[in-house]
Amino acid sequence: MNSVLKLENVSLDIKRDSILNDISIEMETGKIYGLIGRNGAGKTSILSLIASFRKPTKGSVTIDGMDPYENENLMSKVTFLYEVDYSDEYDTAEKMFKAAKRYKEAFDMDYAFSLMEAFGAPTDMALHKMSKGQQAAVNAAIGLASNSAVTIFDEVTNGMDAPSREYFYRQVLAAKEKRPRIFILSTHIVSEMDYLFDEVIIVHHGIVKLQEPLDVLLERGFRVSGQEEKVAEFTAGKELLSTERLGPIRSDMVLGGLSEEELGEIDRLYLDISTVKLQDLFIRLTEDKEGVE
Amino acid sequence: MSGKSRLATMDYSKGFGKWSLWYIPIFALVYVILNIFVREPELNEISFFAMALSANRIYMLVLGILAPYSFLEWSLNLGLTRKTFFQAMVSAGVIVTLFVMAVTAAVSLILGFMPWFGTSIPEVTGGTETLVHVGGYVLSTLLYFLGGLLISVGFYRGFIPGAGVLILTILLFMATDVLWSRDEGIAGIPAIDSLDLMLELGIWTVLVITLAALVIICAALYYTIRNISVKIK
Repeated sequence: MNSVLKLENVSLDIKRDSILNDISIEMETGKIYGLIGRNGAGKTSILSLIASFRKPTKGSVTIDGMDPYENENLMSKVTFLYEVDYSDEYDTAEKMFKAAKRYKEAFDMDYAFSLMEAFGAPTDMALHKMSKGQQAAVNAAIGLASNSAVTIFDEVTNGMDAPSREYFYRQVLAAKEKRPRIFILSTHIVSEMDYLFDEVIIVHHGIVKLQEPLDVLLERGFRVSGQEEKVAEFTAGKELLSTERLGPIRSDMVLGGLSEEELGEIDRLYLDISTVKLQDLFIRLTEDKEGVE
Repeated sequence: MSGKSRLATMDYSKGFGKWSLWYIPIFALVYVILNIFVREPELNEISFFAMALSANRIYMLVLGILAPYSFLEWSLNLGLTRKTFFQAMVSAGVIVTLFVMAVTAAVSLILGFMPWFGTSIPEVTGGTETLVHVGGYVLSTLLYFLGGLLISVGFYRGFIPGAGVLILTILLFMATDVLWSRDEGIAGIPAIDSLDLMLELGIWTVLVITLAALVIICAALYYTIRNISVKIK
C-alpha cells in the first residue's frame, strides 16, 4: 500500500530554543531516504515528530493526509528505532519481539529470529548482558521485521562491526524490494550508506537545506585533479568547495555542473574528473562559510 | 476499552505484578525479623496485613513514580497513544492495588497460623468496621499510585508542572488520610485534628469525597499526559 508522509511548514520550539524552522519534507512508499546533518542539526527532532513523540509548534505532519499524533491506527504504522541505553533492560530479544508482535500485527517473528541468527546475536540473553553491537542488532531486527509503513532507523548501526553493518544494509535493500515502505535512515556514517539512498535530505541548523534524489545531488559537483597550475586555470572563477594538494598534484571539489566546452578543456589540460562523494558534498554544503549554498 | 488498551493493561499489570512479588516477600521478611527480635506486645499483636496497609501505600506511590520511566517511551514506540497509556495505567493501578492487598492478606493469613505472629488490626474492633477500614486503605492505596504517576509525569514535563502536581497530590493525600484515619493528630494541624471527621461526615460522604479525589487526580493525570513529549536520551 502506498503512503505519503508530509511535513508542511513545520517548526519546533522547545522551551526558548528554536529547533526546527519552517521545514517541509515529502516522502513516499518504496524509497529509502537518507536524513543527514551535523550534530544538533535537528535530525532526531524531525524523526520524533514523524513518530508522534512530539507535536510540532507550527505546521503539520501527515501520513496519507491525516495527522498521526494520537491516532491509534497511524501511530502503529510508524516504527522508530534509535540508540537506547539497555543497561537496565532485563528482557531478552525474544520477549521484545513478542511484545512487538502483540502490538504490530505485521511484525514477522520468523524474519526477526533469522536476522538475529545472521547478526550472530542471541535471542535468549537479557539485553543488559549483550554487547553494544548485539543490542544494535536487536534494534535493527525489530525495525526490519516490523514491516511498518514508515520505518525509521536513527544511528541504529552504532556499535555494529563492519560485517554486521554490511548485512544490515543488504537487508534494508531486500526489505524494500519485498515489501515497499518508507525507510528513513539517519546516519553519521554517510560514506558507507550513501548507495542505499534514493533521496537525500540534508538538515542544517534546523532547516532543510535540500531534498533531492541522490543522483541529482551528486551532479551538483565534481572533483577535478591534475597538475597544480592546470587545475588552478580550469577552476578559476568557479565555486570551489575544497582544495587538496599532494606535492605537485592538486584536487579541487567544485560546485556546479560541466558543460561540453568544459569537458573539452579538461581533455586539453589532461585533467581527471570524478564524481564527488555524498559525504564530501554534505561536509562542504554544511560548512558555516559565507557563499556556500 | 480498546483491544490495545486491554493488551497494555495486561502488560503493565504483569510488570507491576513482578515487582510486587519482590516487594511483598521483602516486607514479609522485615515483619518476621521485627517480630522475632522486638518483643513488644503492641507490635507483636499486629498482623502482617495491618502493618502492610500503610507500607503498601508507600510502595504503590513509588510504583506510580517509576511507571512512566519504565513504560511511557516503550508504549509510544509500540504505537500506543497517550490516551491508551493513561487508560491502561489507571486500569493496571486498580488491578495491582487489589493484587497487592490480596497477596498481603493471604500471607498474613498464613503467618497468623503461627504462634509468633499477631492477627489483629489495632485500630478496629472487627466486622463492618474492619471492612470500612480496609476499604478506605484500598482506595487510598490506589490514590497513592495515581498520585505517584501524576508526580512523575508532572516532573517529566518540567519542574513547574511537577511542582504544581506535587502540591495538588500532597493536598489530596492529606485530605483523604485525615478523612479515613482513626489516629489522633494525623494531620498535625490542631484545627483539623480536633474534628472527628469520619464519624461526623458519615461513611458514605467520606467515600464520595475519596472517589472525588480519585476523579480529580485522574483528570489532572490525563491533562498532564495528553500532550506529553517523549524525550530521546
